[in-house]
Amino acid sequence: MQEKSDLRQGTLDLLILKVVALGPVHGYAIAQRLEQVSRGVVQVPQGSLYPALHRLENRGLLAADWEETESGREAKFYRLTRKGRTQPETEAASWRRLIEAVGLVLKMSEGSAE
Amino acid sequence: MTWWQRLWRRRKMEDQLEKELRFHLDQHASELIARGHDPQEAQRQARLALGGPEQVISDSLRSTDTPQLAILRPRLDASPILTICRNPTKEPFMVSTVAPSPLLGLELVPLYTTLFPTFPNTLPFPFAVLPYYHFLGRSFFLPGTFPL
Repeated sequence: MQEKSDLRQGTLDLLILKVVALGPVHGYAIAQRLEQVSRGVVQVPQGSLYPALHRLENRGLLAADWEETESGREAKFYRLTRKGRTQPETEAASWRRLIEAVGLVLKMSEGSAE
Repeated sequence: MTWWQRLWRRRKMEDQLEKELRFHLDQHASELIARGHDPQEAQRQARLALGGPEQVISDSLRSTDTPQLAILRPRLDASPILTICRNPTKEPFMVSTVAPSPLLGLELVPLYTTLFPTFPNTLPFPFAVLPYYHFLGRSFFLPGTFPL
C-alpha cells in the first residue's frame, strides 16, 4: 500500500482546479478522482474539500449548478470559469519551478553526504 | 456574490451545503456498502471520514467571508435580529418574542452593543453614519460627540 501524504497549503486548490478542468464534477467525485489518480497518495481531508470548493467558487475560479446524477439524485456540479482555466497553468508552472529547486537542494545535500 | 448578499443569504447557503454534504455522505456510505460493509457501519465510517457536518458547513461559510464579514461574523451570528431577518418563517419563536421588542425600545441596548464597536467602521462613509443617524437623531452629530 502506498504511503499517504499531507497536502501543503494552496496545493489542494490547484489539484481541485486540475480535476474540475476535465469536466463538470461533484465534490465527492473530486475527492475520489484525486485519490485514484495519485494512486492513494493524495487523500483529501473531506472536511477541507468543501471549504476549498466554496473558496474557489467565491474567487470566481469555479461555478456550480445543481444537476441530476445518474442515480437520479441532485448534486452540486462544479465547473471551471474562464478565470479558473488560466489559474491552474500559472500555479502549476510555479509548482514545477519549486519542485525543480527542491530537487537541486536535495541533490546537493546528497552529494555532500557521500 | 457581494458581502452584503452573503450576509443575508447565509441560511440558503447553509441549506445548500447541508444538501451537498448529505449527498457526499450517502455516496460514500453506498460505496462502502457495495464493498461489503454493514449499512450502519458504512454510515458511521462515512460520517467519521467527513468530520462533523456542522464544522464543515461553518468552515465553508467562513472561507467565503470577506475580511469585513470575517470580523463581524461572530457578532452577526449571535444577533437575533439578523436571524429573524434572514428567514422569519423558520424562526417563529424568535419572531414572536424578539421582533416586537424593538418597538418597545427593549432591543436598543443589545443592538448597539452588537453594532457599535465594529459595524459602522467597516462600512463606506454614508452607510457607516446611517445607523447612528437613524436611531440617535441629529443631536448625536453635534461637534465633539461623533463616536467614529
